[in-house]
Amino acid sequence: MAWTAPKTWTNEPLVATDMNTHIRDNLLALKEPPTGHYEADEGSNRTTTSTSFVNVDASGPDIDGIFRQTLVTNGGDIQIHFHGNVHGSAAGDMVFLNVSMDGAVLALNDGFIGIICATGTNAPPGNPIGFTRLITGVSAGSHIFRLMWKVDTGTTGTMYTGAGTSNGDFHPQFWVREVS
Amino acid sequence: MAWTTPKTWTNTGVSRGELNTHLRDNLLALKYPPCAVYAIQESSDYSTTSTSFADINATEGKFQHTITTTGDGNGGNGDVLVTLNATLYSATSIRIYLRILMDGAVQNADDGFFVSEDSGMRPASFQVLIRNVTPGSHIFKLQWKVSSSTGFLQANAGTSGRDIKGQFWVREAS
Repeated sequence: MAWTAPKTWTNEPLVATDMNTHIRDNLLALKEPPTGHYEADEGSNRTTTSTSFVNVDASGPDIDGIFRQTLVTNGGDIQIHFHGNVHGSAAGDMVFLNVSMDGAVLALNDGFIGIICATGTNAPPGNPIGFTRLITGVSAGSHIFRLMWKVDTGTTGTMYTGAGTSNGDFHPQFWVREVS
Repeated sequence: MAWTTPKTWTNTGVSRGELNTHLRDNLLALKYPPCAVYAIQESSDYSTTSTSFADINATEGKFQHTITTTGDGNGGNGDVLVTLNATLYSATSIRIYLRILMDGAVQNADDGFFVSEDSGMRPASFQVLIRNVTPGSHIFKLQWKVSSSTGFLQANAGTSGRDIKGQFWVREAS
């Protein structure tokens, strides 16, 4: 439901359209804000060797509702969340996460969060990693959010995505929600 | 926008003042709750060698946020979300502990609510719901300690391979 800036009431009769727009519809907009959510249960885990940020779904499918979420927002703040398990190809390998909004990364350099994969964790279950990020002042309209990642040189990064890997059959979650 | 305990309507005329206060203003208060955000970006990464809890940075707007909450909307207490999304580092395997204070009172006793034991770079992300917060102004602070040696919190300071921009935010949830 779309949000409408609440009316400033004056000395006028109450009419049904005003009540429906400013009370009914706005309450519904608050109760059910724009949200995009994905819980991975895929046929194969995601991998990357890119040392610059690329979309997690760079290997496909490039469709909305997976690691790409499109929201039509009312203007305000957005909460972005990811949690999952990753590993490199050897101890000391690094994995970094970021998000882009409308094609622009939200954090430069090494992104939102990173991990050095310790000895013994370059196989299932890997390393837990996640974030909950608040993006303020997002303009009203349609916005595309994409989870991105990169690794350091020589690393093959793996993200478990519910592909049935023994001891690594994790189902990460990526969601985006307007919170004001 | 300030919240006003919603009026209990009776069979009386409705005035514009009441509609503005109880509908317009309260809708806006729900849409834009009290919130404070720190995008962690400094000229140098944070570091500590303290083995007892200490402020990371008590400057208002950094790892200290003051918000004025409105409670549960009916004169009672409400809930606040405290969120950290950050990356820690140590050169050797140590423990780095985190805890939250509200108005100077420790919210997580003993060794806090989060500990990371490892060497190298690792994530520190959590969201803590603090319940029963009275309406009014409250100060939220993040503190840390280490088991030994030096612990770091990356601050987008240009450190090669660890140039990461974390976030610390506080928001009224109800």
